[in-house]
Amino acid sequence: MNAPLLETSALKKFFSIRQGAFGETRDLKAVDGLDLRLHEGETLGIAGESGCGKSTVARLIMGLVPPSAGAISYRGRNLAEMGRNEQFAFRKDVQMVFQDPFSSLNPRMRVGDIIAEPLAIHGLASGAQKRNAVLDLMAKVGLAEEHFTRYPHEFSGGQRQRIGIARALAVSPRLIIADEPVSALDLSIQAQIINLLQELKKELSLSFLFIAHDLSVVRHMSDRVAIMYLGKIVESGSRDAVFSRYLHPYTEALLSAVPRIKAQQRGKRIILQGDIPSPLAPPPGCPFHTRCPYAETPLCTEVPPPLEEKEAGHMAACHLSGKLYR
Amino acid sequence: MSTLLQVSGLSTHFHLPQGTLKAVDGIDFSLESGKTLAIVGESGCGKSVTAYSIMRLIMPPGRIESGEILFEGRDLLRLSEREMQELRGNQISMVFQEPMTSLNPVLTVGRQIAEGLLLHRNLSRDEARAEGTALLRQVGIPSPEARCNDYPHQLSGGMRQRVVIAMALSCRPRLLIADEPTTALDVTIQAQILELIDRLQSDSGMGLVLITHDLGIVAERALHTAIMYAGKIVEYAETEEIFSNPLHPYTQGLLAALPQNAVPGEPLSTIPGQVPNLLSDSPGCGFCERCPVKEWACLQEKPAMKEAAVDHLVRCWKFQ
Repeated sequence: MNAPLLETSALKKFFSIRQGAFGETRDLKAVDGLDLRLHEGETLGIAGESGCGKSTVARLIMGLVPPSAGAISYRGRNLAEMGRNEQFAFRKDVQMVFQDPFSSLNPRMRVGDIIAEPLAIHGLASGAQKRNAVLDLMAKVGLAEEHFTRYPHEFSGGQRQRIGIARALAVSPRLIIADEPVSALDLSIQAQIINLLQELKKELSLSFLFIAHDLSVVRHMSDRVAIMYLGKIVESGSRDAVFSRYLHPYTEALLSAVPRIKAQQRGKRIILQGDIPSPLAPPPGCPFHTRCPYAETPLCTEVPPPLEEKEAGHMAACHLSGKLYR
Repeated sequence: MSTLLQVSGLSTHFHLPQGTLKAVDGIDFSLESGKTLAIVGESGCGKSVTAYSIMRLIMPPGRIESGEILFEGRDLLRLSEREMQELRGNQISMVFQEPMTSLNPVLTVGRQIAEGLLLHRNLSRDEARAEGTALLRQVGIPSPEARCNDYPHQLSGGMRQRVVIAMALSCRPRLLIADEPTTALDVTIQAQILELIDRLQSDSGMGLVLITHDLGIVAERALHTAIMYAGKIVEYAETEEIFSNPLHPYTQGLLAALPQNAVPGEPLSTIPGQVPNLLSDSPGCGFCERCPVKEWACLQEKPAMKEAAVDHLVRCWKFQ
């Protein structure tokens, strides 16, 4: 098999936090040993609650923050070992769509210039050619020609997200990192943007790393899914494996907490006690044991469970997996 | 069951330099004590302005133009500001979406909970403190004695929202208005908070107006549902009826657009276009621009609310 399009191995990001003016510094383990693999043409969904480190993963891959340890490879090449030109090419191939369409567009630039900027940076087009390329992109994401000279504030949230998507597509990327691309949008607009991303994926044979907290959106978009908790992957596998044959108690609780429209889809709700522990002081043993309804053995409280393949392609980090009551 | 809240013909407009924005444009609904009414809609549909209007917290350039808000038979719109203050935070309480902005950052949590108790229930400082601690325990905050001395920034989002709920419940209100109470929270924390409100409601017989855009929460929690669009209620019925037999094209579109209701990976059904600008008042139905089944009449005149099935009201020309 070919090398995966994107791979991270034992990727870590620790932020040093000083507590109090003279306090000692401690490590906030935002991402703590992450192994991801994303194949060409695939959508990998990352889901988890706030503070689980999913946005830090996106920032690490984009090179916006340097990793503390571990490696990121693109088409089998380690990012850290790439020369300037190779890195520049990587930055063209991998583009990001941000969560907040209000703060990710420069308010003083016209829409046409926003979308054209990456073309100019990568020297891909100029003059009339550039203008035509931008108009093509705008048509592709459902913007009208007359929007070319308008400013971001004249647009609604959904349209701004379309501008952000057009900008990401300008340099013909291979991989799109989308960090909560629809969570700021209204329901009827959310469906439009989800469909747009799906169409573009098919039309341009793109790959996606799709990060979101809304499980029904992740389920809809992803071929494979990884669930994160406190900087670690607790479960990963195909969409159906994770959503229908989940092995980790956290995945189970997360799915049971989603409010359901249809009464027949409602199972027994598991109400987790307490909050997510602070990543500054993650619990020893299994990071989830403080809230886990099943954790009882000393194994759970003392030994961190490794992420193991429990069935073909389906990984879970739990000492008890297979013992869920469902 | 007695009617706790009866809103009729409520209109709240904002008088802006660009024109009059009809944020709430003639809405009617009622709520019985102990029950839950959900008001559902997208941003800008007027659901929050409805909540602020009931609390009489509309500031200029906004103005409540007309209507009646009967709370246990008294018209809130005819009360003096002083009489309203007696009710607000006492018999009628509100929980806001963003807990950080509804807490005072420079006062301890205990002090803020005590405020309502001192004001409305004439407790002494010691009594208020004891009661505040009890409330924090009731909403599931561990070691509440210690938490009383914390400032809001020292608490997590879920904890803060619990504090806000404890404050809202401190005077045992008859009516709670919750404006997106869990939107800022994670799904496991959301489940905790919703269970808590549920329990308190069945204990005390409090009525709840739940404002949200999350249809899953509505389906699970509310007895009745009002769907709002462009300042008007476009459909109103028992929640089960709305979800099993949606009649308004907008409600049908919303339900069809949910990823939960779709086959994973298949295109979602969408409502084309965007929420209309309420400044430009068109003569026709507010939804007609986006409506897949619009006819000539829809563009000419606004439809009235009509009973299309038993206890099922719809504002659409198809049912006139």
